[in-house]
Amino acid sequence: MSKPFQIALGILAAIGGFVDIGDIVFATTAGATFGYELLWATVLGVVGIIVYSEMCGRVATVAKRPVFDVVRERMGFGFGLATLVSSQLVNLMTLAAEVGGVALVLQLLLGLPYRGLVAVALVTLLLSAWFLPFEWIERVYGFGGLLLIVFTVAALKLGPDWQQLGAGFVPGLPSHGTELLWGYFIVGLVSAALMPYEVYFYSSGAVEEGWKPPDDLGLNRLNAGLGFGLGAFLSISLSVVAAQLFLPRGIDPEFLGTVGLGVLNPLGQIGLLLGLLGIFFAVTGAAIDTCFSGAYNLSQFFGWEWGKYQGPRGAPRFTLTWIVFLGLGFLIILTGVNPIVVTEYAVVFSVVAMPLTYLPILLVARDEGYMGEYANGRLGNVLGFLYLGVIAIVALSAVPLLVLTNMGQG
Amino acid sequence: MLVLVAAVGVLSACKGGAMTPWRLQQDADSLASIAADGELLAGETAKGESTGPFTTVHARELRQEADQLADVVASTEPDPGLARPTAQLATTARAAARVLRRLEEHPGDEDVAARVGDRLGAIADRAEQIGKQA
Amino acid sequence: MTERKAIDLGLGVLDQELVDADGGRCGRVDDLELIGGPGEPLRLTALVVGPATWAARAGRVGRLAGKLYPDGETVVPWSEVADITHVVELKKTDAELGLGEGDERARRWLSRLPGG
Repeated sequence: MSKPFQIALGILAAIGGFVDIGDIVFATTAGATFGYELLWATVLGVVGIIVYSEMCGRVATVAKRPVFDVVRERMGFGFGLATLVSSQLVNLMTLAAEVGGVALVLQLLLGLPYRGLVAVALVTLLLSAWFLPFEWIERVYGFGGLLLIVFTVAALKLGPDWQQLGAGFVPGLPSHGTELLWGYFIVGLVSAALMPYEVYFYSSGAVEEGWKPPDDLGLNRLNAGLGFGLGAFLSISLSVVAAQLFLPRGIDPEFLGTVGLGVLNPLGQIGLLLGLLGIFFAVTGAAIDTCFSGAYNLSQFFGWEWGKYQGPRGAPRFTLTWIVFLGLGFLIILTGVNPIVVTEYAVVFSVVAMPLTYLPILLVARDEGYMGEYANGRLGNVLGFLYLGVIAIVALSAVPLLVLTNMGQG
Repeated sequence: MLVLVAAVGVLSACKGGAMTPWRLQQDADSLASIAADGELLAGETAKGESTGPFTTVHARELRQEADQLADVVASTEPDPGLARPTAQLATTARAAARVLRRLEEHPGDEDVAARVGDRLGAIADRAEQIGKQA
Repeated sequence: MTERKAIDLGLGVLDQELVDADGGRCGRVDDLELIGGPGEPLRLTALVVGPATWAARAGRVGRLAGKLYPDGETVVPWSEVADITHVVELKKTDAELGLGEGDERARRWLSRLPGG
């Protein structure tokens, strides 16, 4: 396989892998509540994940350190352990949300009872993670996630008001609804784009795949920039569909089924099936990534041998960790808790813990001692610190807004 | 902190309490949303575009939501002057649940779906009217 | 000719990953053993791997984490260190130094599963 082709495949997989249950829930609800007016918030979040993951990828490639390696080194055991515990709790919440999301979409496709489908989801995840090689996981679920492009087609077919849509990319106060609710959705959209498991997985993946400077640094930038950047289109499409179909009818999307209506109405049965399949692949992929992230973090922090490439014999504690993690996520969903609700909590709380993992990465990425000539340039530093500020503001306002808006109910 | 947030989440869905004008408006909006959602689903089913599992599962979700809304509304203590709209809202929510059950149980029947769609459209309008009385 | 290279003990050794002669990861440096009192010459004699210091460094959570880590404490003499790069490279294998026992136990667990 030629190198450019491989790179293109990687980017396609990244695009398809961008969307997870958090993006689906928040993008759809934001569109149904504020129309096009919050598209800029999605962009703000996406640029954030591009900046963060580019730094993580660069640190992993040059300094050979994935995220929790850096956390342990720079923060020491005390602060580092606190960071680890909070990150793992968020990871677990996220995993439960994704597993539940898989069960929900399977239910919409097959109509079978929910509990049984939760078990099906667990088995699918377990078998995929155990038997599929690392690259195959990314390819299968990444390309499958690309089916979500059907939402972009739906958005175009519904014929949006392009002027209003364009205006949505400019930040501004809402034309209706309370400012608190508006703030809550900004937090949700930025946070859903910046889900931490994505960078844990991305940086560990860079080490797993043996990325070396300088060649793979370009690949890093492409994956981060194009992969996540274009992936944002899928998220934006969900909002645009919701703005056209749900906002005028006063529909507050509370179910994954409502999201399905977004493709069913403009594109008919084919649209519905492709859309649901797209959601299945995207959310299943996210579940696997999250489950591995939990194992990566723990192993890296304690210095265990880690890596999917090592196989179960090569990295046994790492393997046991992701299996246990998956089991815990499954148990949480089995309690009958609504996955959509878990998703909202996971998205909001993940940004609260984010400054703790973002800051050490930023410090290392700009440190010439670690990075040599590949340390942050002027632009890298400006963006890096700018987003530290954005993340800090979002992190501080997240829980108050969650409480004050009663989880987005107004 | 987590406990506090969880508590807020649980309390907001709790039965009982006063039915204030604000809450009536919120609940009416919720019913209008459920009905409009169901109307959209019924519309697609009437065209023969939906699949059996999708219609059944989504109709069921909406029906359960409507039933729960009816229960919660019926259990409140209406503020003075709000007794009638509150009762009407509960009744209308139950009607929505009944209608959605028909769609849930006959996902392949386009005629049923068409009638359900019309009914839900009327219910959505009714809910909006009730909300305006708040 | 020996090159004098400054080694940052705080950032460059403590909490660093240990890699053995086979290139395998075998824990992190949890503590440093220094000999010599106040006012006397200090010598770094060994690296300590294991949960003994966790309670001091992370309070109750550290102690709890220590309880989940049955390996106890392993002392790696400074003479066993081959080089300090982005990791601490050791001269011997993990088995020879008494490290990596956790993975051995985990391997036995996993061998009960198909494909493990």
